[in-house]
Amino acid sequence: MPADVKELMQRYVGGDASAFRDLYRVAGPPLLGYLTRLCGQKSLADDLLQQTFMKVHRARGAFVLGADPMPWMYSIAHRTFLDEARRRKRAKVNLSTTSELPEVAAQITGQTIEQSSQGPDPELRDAALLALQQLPEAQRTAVVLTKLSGKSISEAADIAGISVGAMKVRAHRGYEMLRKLLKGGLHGA
Amino acid sequence: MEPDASLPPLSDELTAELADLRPRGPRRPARQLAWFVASMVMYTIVVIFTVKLRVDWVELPIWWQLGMAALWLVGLAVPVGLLMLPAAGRVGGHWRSASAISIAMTVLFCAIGWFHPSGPSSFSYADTPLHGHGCMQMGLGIAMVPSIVVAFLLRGVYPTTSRVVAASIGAAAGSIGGLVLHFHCRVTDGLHLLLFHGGMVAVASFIVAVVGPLLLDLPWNYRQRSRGSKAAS
Repeated sequence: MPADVKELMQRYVGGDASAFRDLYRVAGPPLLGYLTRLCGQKSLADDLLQQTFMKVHRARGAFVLGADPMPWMYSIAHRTFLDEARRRKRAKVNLSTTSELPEVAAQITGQTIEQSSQGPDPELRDAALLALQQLPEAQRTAVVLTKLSGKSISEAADIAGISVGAMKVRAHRGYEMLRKLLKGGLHGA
Repeated sequence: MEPDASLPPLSDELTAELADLRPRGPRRPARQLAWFVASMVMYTIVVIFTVKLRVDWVELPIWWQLGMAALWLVGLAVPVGLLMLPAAGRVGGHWRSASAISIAMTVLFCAIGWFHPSGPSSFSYADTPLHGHGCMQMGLGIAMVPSIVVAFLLRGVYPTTSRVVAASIGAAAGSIGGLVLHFHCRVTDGLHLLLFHGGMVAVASFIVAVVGPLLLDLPWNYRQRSRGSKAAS
């Protein structure tokens, strides 16, 4: 896939709008999956994905020919998520006064619970989703990148903008906490 | 290629921009770096002759003067080169190495002043060490130009590491200020050089770390953020 993405990005930077649409189809699903796992809401992830591609579009002049755009796009998606998380934190009081119902939570696959009828064990899946959202933001990012998105520690550290050592520590702590939460949740059920 | 049903449609704003998409030249890091270093050498020469060369210039060992000048230039070119030249297959450069080298160079510039030789026309602020703060102001002022230029050249390259990258840019730009001070200031006592020449690099790094992320980001991004902040308040 990276070879395709590279070529599409080069054509798009060269002014081919159809290449952008193809790039969106190829690079969009993994980025959407990543954002959904981070924020836990499909509709919010959709919005963040659109913002991410808008930022990619604005920053296309920073692209270097021959580079793999995916780690860069993941970084932009990550930055977009962080900005939104901070904005929501500031708006927490205002949001709590609205009468809107919370959105249906998404699963690790990015689908809502109602949408998905397959999977190994629905109880385990729901517990995993709940536990993942209970992790601190930094650890959740590390677990999602290294355990769910299949990135290497070095790639994950680059995307999150931290050192390799810090990423290892966060991923390990996040994974340990996730295991504890899952153990506790399943035993408690 | 089949459309993916799970993907949201592109926003109206983006669709409108794509309808009028123009080719954009990709970033050419080696060319950018060469242009930047050449223009900064010119800038330094012009500033040095504007603020005047130190009067004890001819009394000090030439190997010291040129060696220190080369060191200040390394403090500029190496971190900026590491930030501008991309790692293999990546859009961004070696930001971790750039920040490590910036820290090492800042410490070196603070420490090396203790070994500065003196001539008959050299000056010391040993009795009133805080009197030399003009060097700090001058160095910081000179460092602002290269900071802005590098941040502009690296816009959009580092979405998640802009604070660390900005700090490295500040330290590198501070080296230009330090280079000018090296050729201008005839004070040779170690404390002055630590506080106001080497210390200026650390202060430049701090200042650019605070304001630099705004310069490294794209205008559309922080307009979005400020819109979000207003909505939140």
